[in-house]
Amino acid sequence: MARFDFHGLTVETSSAFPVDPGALLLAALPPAPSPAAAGSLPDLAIRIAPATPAELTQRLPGPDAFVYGASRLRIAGDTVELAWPGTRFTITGPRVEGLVDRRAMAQPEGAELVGHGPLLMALAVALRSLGCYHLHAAALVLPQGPTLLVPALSGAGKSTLATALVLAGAGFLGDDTLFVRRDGPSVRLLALPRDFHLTGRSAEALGLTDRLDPILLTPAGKGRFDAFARFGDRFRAEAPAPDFILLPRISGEPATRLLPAMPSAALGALLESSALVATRGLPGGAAHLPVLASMANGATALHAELGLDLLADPRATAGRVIAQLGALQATAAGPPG
Amino acid sequence: MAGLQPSDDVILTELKDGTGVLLHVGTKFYYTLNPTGVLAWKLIAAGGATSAAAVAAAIADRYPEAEPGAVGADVAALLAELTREGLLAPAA
Repeated sequence: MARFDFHGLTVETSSAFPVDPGALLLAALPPAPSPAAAGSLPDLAIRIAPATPAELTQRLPGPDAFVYGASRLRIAGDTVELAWPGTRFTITGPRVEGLVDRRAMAQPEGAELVGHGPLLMALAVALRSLGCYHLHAAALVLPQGPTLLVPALSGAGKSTLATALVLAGAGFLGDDTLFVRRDGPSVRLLALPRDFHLTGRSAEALGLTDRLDPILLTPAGKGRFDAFARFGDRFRAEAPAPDFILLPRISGEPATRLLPAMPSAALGALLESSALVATRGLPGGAAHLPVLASMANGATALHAELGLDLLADPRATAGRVIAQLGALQATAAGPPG
Repeated sequence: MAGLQPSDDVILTELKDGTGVLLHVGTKFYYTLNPTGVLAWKLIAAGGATSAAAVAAAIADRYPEAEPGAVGADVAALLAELTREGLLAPAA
């Protein structure tokens, strides 16, 4: 059993397997007080046990409420079930019970794949009952101070842009996994620290080929890049609501450009990056959309038309993006008083 | 077109610039509305105007500088599209 501190919440994970997928997923979080020392129940608990294939086919009744790739999510009363090949997780409030086929865990990197696949999604469901909402987005803190959010689907250039910005001096919360939580009238960005994921082409352009783990974890064929080993001093566990929301798109033009975007475009991108927001019956459902709207309303939205220069000279291109955002921030703040 | 109401599966989120986003939790699609579209949606949702003609008349009242014929055509096209996408449905 292990306990981790997720932004003030104690998350306890245990597994009957020799390697606990939960401990792998949460490994970069700071430890929480031990159960004996704390003498209290955790805020969120994960239990993972072996199951036979027959046990994995026992599903909750009713239709699928949400389908994402090979995963199927069903809801019955207060229980949410997430079925993924070789695994079945049931989530009741902040309690996650996982059943995993021994054969899935016996595969190379099996515990990693379970941890960063179905368990991450189950954790995202469970954290909703504690007011934390998953967002598929990169989050960065620019050297001048502003917070930058880059919500986008896979393949839009999010990780390449995020890594280039880090190379150019930005701090980072992550390149694709983020949680947001209501913080008074605003929201707060919460990191779940884990590896970046880069294609071989992007890693080569960024000069990080030798640091790319060739074991593939994503359907897009991206490899893992340990950003903490390379840029650990730039990691930020939390950040205030974004000052800028960048909507990336690979343009194929020579130069990267930032263009004004409507708040509705920002909200649209946030919706696309929040897979569970449109699923009825999940815990925390009513509060999710206002959190996204708060970010769309509070930030300056910009289209980031990513040009060929991002791969030709990522550090200089990201430096220009940082300078442009800094100038926009200074304009918005007005002249110093 | 007469007697429309928002689908129970649709949520409007208004934004600071007057635009809005409709989220259909059944299809998971979202749709953006300009400020006039937001006004039209809110008129229908409030039950004050449930036909294209009534919505157009209310918007023409709000924007007297607009040409009434153009307002009527734009509103009819908008409501037809919202109905086609399942965002509006015939009132019960």
